[in-house]
Amino acid sequence: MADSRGPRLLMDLNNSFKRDPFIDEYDVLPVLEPKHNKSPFILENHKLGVEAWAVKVLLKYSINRLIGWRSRNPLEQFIDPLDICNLSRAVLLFNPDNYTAWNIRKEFIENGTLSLSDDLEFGALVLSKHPKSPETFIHRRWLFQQLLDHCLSSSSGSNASCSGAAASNEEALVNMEAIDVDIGAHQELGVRLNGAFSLESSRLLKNQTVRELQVCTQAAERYQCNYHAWSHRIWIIKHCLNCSLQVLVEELETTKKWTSNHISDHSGFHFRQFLLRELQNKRSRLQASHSIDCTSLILAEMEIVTDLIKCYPDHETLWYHRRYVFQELLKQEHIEEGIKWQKTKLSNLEGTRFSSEAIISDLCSQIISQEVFLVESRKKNACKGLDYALAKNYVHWLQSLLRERTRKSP
Amino acid sequence: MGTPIKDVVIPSTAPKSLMLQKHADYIASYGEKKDDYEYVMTEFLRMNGMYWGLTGMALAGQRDRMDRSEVICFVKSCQHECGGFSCSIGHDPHLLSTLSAVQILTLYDALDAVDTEAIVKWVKSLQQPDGSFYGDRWGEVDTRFSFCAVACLTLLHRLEELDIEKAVEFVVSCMNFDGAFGCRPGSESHSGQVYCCVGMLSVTGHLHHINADQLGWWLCERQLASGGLNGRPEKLPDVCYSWWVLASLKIIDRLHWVDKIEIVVVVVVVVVVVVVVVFVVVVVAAVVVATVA
Repeated sequence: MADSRGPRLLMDLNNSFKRDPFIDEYDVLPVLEPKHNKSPFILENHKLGVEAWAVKVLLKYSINRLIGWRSRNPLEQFIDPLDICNLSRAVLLFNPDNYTAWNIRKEFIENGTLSLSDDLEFGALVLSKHPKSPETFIHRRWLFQQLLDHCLSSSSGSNASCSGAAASNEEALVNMEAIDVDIGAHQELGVRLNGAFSLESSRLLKNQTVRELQVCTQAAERYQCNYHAWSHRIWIIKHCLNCSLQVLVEELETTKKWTSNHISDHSGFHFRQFLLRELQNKRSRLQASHSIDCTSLILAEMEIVTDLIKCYPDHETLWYHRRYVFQELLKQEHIEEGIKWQKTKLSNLEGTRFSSEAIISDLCSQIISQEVFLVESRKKNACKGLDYALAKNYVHWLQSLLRERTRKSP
Repeated sequence: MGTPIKDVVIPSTAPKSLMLQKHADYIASYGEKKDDYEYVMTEFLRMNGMYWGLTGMALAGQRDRMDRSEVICFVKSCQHECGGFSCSIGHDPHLLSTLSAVQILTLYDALDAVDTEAIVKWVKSLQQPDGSFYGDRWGEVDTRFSFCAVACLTLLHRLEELDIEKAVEFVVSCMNFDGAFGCRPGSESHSGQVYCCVGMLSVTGHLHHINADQLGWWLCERQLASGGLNGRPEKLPDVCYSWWVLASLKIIDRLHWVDKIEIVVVVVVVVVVVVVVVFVVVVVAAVVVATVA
């Protein structure tokens, strides 16, 4: 039997959003039974609390009506589009992986009933309660794709300055080289972006992209090892910021502190691996425009991870990150760079071509043996705890790396 | 240093044997309370849940307790004009629910109840020039969808309809330095994604792209002292990830590398104490491998 309280609760929820369009957090209040003459919605300081019993009634009512409308149930065909939007909001606040509800909103954005930036705000609100909801992130990627497509079409029509937003020409892309994407510094953006773009959609793209990095950080803070938040961040950097050098460098700087405060968060460290790899791909431009040498970045990362392992034993994440950094260090370009640096010191290399493969492979084996020695000595100090096991695993990994290399280069 | 170890503690009072009948009874009664709040909340997973439940019952030898015609009727009513299936009536079609639908119908030998030609056409239409697959018409890309697409068409005996070479190329581009896989190129390694990618490469006969020793090592490192397995470094173990990891190890022929006795203890405990339904994932997916691989 249908619960007659549903429509009333939906109206109350809608009114809460009317009263305060800037609700930035919400949660369920542990009140299992309704109390007389008391609204189950509590709104204070932009925070919305909904009593648990009301969530249940509201959700059942809203899902049934929304999906009924979607399946063309004749009883539900006369609902106003705005009411459908409100129904989908009620559903998604508490059932954020209901992908059909997100799809309905996509259609409303396509036909102009719903504004794209409002929907991005709404998604951010949903993530405040459900920071790892995959469907919420999927929907956001679609929204950003709309923004990108819009920029592309308006620029190809007018040949205006946002042509780079098509993600085909990095330097033109919202001139991101000039933008500081420091996670905490978004207030300045309004000022700094002025003049760079004339078109509304590209301005929106820029503002929203910077805001999106904050949304990702917040979601990563709220749920550790948040796969969806970090892979979304990678997507944004690739698609909306076109892996701009400036952005990569800034991100490397800002996540340095974040990861050292979240030493168990493998997703955060993996994000740094992504940044290092992208910077590596652009190493000559990085050297030319920023005077940053890629080999130094990898060496600096090795230093960071060595320090962290020393300060915080028993963290698998740190040892895993070390694996990445170490195998990166073994790459030909870094070794060559290292040989260049040390060429004068290594007398036995006099007169030989430093890029000779034999020397490189010899040096690699030496570096691996050194690393094994280093870690073995650390193992001795770890006195059989978890860190001992982690170091042991690392040595095993190193040895298989060495075996693999000798197998490949006879 | 008192770093808390991220693992579960198994109490000595925990059951030591699998209570198969209780699991079966739980699944059998699951669909009876259709008006429950929990039932409505999980609607977007209905088709997948149904597949896991049915396969669990099949493995327990109690498939006949489920109403075959009711199930087929439900699946049929979830097929859309485009050919894809939705998770439940009134929802939108998606590859994730389409694979489950095809698996359920295969289990019941009832593929003729639906328009299979339309399924093939739809799945084919989701493949992109780089070989990846959209999950539905809205364009999200994920290696999970690569698995769903090839598994679906394998069950329909129509794998040749896809551009396999490109599809494999995309999946391989999602391999990381540790030998494991993520959801898109450059994404973090994740046991669930590993299962999908390894499964995909297995179904299409391209396992040679995998460095089995390297990946096998990474997968074995997912086992914790309790015996249970996690999905990524420093995450808690659970039965769901235990399944994805073990299934992947099985496919790459490295299952003998892990400590099986410990796993059995954890699986039994976690299943009985925490969530029965998740266990189904463990048992059930054996059938995916059996039917698909």
